[in-house]
Amino acid sequence: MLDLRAMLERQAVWQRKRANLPWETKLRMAVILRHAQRALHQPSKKNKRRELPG
Amino acid sequence: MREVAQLLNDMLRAGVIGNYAMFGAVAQMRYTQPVATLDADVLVSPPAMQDINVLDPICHFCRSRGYNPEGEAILVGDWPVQFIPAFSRLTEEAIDRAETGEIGGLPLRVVRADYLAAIALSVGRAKDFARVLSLLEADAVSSNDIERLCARHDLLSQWQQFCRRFLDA
Repeated sequence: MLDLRAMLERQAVWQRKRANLPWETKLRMAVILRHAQRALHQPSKKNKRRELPG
Repeated sequence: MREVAQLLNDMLRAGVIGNYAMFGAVAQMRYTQPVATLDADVLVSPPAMQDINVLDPICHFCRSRGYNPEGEAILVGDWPVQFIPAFSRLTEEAIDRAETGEIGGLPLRVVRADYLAAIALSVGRAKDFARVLSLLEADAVSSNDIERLCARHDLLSQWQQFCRRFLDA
């Protein structure tokens, strides 16, 4: 069985490390996150074809 | 963000603004993990002895540099930038006492973590409370720092309410 507590503690350490990244790096990550969010909200080509009349 | 830093520093040198400091999520990321955000918020103060309306000269300056409005913001490189005039004594002080970070070799002024937390408490939306929690968790600011600042800016009741809701286990 997984040791859930140990796993969460490791995750917390890993997340804290991300806070120590340079500000510039974190801002670049935020831009990537924003582009990914936009891409998720755009209809895919497959769906667009389905939306065509006829 | 380098383009944003360049634009803001040019604006300051040209006397279009009296001063500026990044705040909101972009400022938060100086102290915490990266977070998702749609735009970059900048607190601005007007130049001394000038019209209180600082936004028109800012828009004009941006247009002259080829940066155009996109909704409420002005698109500068990858970032829609939202200029927000200082709206209280707290935000004026946050600009005055901002730190200077560095982006791509350029200076970029940024609101200190304690001011960021106090501004978030004064606004009071769910995402603002999450910001205060993130700053505390990252040890960017202490509860005592926030309390002291809140006491000076008439925000003690908001701070105490926040403590009851989120910190008192």
